[in-house]
Parts: sequence; structure tokens; C-alpha cells
Amino acid sequence: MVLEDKNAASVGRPWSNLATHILELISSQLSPSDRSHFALTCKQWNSVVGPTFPADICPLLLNCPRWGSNVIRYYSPYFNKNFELDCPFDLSGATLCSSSNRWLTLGWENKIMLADPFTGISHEVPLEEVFLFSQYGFFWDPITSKLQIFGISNGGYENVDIGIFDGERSGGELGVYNLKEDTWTVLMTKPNKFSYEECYLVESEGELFSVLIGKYGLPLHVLRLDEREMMWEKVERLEGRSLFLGSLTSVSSNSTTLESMENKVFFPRFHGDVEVIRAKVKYSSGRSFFVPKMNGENKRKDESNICWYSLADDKFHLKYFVSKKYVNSIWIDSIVASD
Amino acid sequence: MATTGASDGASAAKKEGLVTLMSGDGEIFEVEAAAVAALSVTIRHAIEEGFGDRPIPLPIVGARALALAVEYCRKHHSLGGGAGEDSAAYDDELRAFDHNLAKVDRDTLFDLIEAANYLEIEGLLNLMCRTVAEMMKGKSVEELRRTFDVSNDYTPEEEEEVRREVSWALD
Repeated sequence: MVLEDKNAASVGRPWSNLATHILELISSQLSPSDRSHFALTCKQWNSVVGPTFPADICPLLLNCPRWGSNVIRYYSPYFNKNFELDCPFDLSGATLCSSSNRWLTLGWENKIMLADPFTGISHEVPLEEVFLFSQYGFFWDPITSKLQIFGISNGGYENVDIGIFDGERSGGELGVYNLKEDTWTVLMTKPNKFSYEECYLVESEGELFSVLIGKYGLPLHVLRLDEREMMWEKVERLEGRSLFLGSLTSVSSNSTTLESMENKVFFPRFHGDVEVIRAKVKYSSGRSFFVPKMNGENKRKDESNICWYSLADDKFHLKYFVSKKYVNSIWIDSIVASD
Repeated sequence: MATTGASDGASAAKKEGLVTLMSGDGEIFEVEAAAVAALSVTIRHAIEEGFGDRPIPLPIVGARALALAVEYCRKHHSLGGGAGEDSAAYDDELRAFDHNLAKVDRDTLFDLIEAANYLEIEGLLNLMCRTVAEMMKGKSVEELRRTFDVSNDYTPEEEEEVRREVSWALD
């Protein structure tokens, strides 16, 4: 193409004043990260960019306001928002059992299902005899896509519960199940000197942590298992990690966590109402995002509603014992784009 | 639909299927009515309203952008009408044409967007917006401001607010 008009090239064009629908046409072709650069360029450009919230940056608390309704919510501790999505399957009568990556185990009176709430893919677990166990262990290997579930009933092992740091009785036994050999071992750990009301076990980057909480939420101790000495040692900092504790599943996020969440322990407990945004999940450039169905006020509040404990200043951000626990909730790993 | 303006409009018929367009800077273009009417909603309406024997004024479209837009209409009309959409030649030749058209400089790109928008040539508008989006890929905020000559009109507080909302995507 030959450019003849030399004058035209030297006159700057008012790109910032392009009509809204044209800017929308342009921004709709951009990847979410390019779109955020676009939004920051100037006010007019920002005005056409609806907010998108990455769904892959931290664990999410799956929760259901009305169990069995056709919606399911994902609370993001980073954005302090509840993203409400259509639930692809019928949850009536189901009990949340456990989660691994994005898979959930759901139990009914007569069946157990593995379900991926984002794709709606679900598998009934073939079992000869179905009864609900008191605890579930659940592993999903993303590389082989192999799933292993096992349920534990309380009968038979008096002092051992899988995944439960059994401190209340004598303080210090850890039940370890060997999948290959189908054997149980009870490991004795040296008793720690802390007394507590609640305890949680959580694995993080190959290490086992326990979180002990005293009456009314204080004191809170985070301990790491020194496997050589079989001793629980108190840790002062989580080295950039965040822990997300729950009675069914506890998860951690590693040191690539966002700065505002580092060294914090999150609970499925809340003060006040969390903003709910109707959304859908979109995948783009290998990432996943919550995209609101309607544009609304989307200011991020400084005060977050979720109850967290900061190891940096050794205190709860909100009073633990007056916060409201979300029943029917479970932590799941951040949503990773599947394709 | 494409030939409605040319065959039904008595005046357009007088000029043997030609219609006269006048760019914002006063240049006159005599073009095939059928081609532009098929692609440009604005010109189709103007022809239907009986502009056929007078030049249709296009106040905000410069001569250069108008020439390119007319070329786009001709090409897409002749190839679209001539070869059938599933023909491989149609695809390749048009794609090559669009690809070449998109190689214009930034100012022309802007003028073409404004022209396509005013003339309501949907395909051209989409093509040019896609081209702009392509240019924006991987650019930082500063690079975008420099490339498109956009000045930062945020106050530091406002910029910080937006930056915080999108901080997950920034390096």
C-alpha cells in the first residue's frame, strides 16, 4: 500500500476518544492481561473494560447459600467476593465429603460421586456396598488423571483417624495409610506443649503442618512436623505460604501467592455479608477468569469479610469466635484452565 | 439487496450504476453503486433516499480513507459475488487483500476505523479493530500510551485504584 498523504501521517489521531462500541470491539479481542494494560492506559479506554477476576490465583471456598439450589458460589479470599455460577448438577440430598484439586467427592445415601463443578463432569464411584464414611481421603493425580479415594469409618481404629491430628486424646499419634501395601501405621510424634480446642492438618509443598487453636480462637499456633525427629516445631512465618483451613479439606498455596495473602491462615468464617457477583468462568491464554454477567460497582473493599490470622503480627484480622461459619463449604484449589 | 439502489433508483440508473461520493475534504469519487451499497449501510440508505444524482456528502471521511474503503467494498463485492464463499480462491484472495489493507500506518488505521464506523461497513470495522488489538498484544501500559499517542489522564489516586483492580495481570 503506497502512502501518499504525507500530512495525514504527521497529525496525531485522538485514539483515546474512540467511540465506546469501537473500543469494545478492540478490547474484546484482547487477552485478559492485555486488557488490563488497555484499561490502565486512560480513563476512556478503562470505561469499556468490564472487570475480570482471575480464578487461578488462590484457593476458592466453594459454598452454597441454599443447598440443592441450582447455584454454587466460589468465594475468592483475594477479591473478597463470592462468584455465583450455575451449578451443573443436582446437589439435593448430597453431602460434601472432600476435595482434591478441582474435584469434589459428594455423598448421597446410596452413592458416592466424583464431580467437577466447572465442567459438570461427574462419575459415580463403583462400590459394592455404600455407606457414608466419617472421613475421606482423596487423591487426584493431574498427570495420570488417576483418582484414588478411600473412606474411613471410625470403627476399628480406636486412636487413629486419617488426616486428623489426634491431639485431644493423647497428643501425638498420626495415622498413616500406605496405599501400596494397604497397611496402617501409627506414628508417634513427640507431644507438644500447647493445649487447644481445634486442630487442622494441612500439607504444603511436601511438608506437614498443623494449626492448633485455643478456646475462642486464641492462641493460634502453626506447627511443622520435623519428620526426622518426629517432632512438631512452632513456626513463626509461613515463608510466603497461605493456609486455608476447613473441617473437610485444608489446602495451602505456595510462595507464589499474592503478597496481600502471604503468611496468613484463612478460615471459612465471615463477618457481615460478602458481595455476590453472578458470573461465568472463561478460559483464555491458559488462564481462567470469573467474568461478571452484569457490570456493576466493582470496587475492591479494603476491609475483607473473611476471618484470617496473620502470622506477621500474630493476630486475627476479625474476631474469630463471633464470626459466622459457612456451613456447606469446602476449599478447592484455584481453577486451572483444563485445555 | 446489493443491486436495489442501482436498478430501482431512477437517477442511479441514469449514471449507469454509478454513484458519486464526496469526501469530507471535497474530493469526488464515482463508484459502482452496487458495490458500495452492498457493503456500506450508510451509502445504501443515502442511495435509497434519492441522493443518486447528487454527490453523497461524507463529511467526516477523508479522501484517502474513502478511497481505501471503496477499494475494500469493490473487492469484497466482486469476489464475494463472483466466486462463492466456499471457493478456495475467494478465501485466499480476500484474505490476502485484507492482510495487505491492514498494513497501513497508525493514522490511516485510525481514519479507516472512523470511516468504516461512519459508513457502517461492518467487515472493515472488524478487520481494523482486530488489527489494532493485534498491535496491542504484549505491550505495557507505557508502550500503549506511546504507540497510540494517548496521554495519561488519571490522577495518581485513580491510577492506583485501577492498578490495584488489575494488579494480578501486571508484572
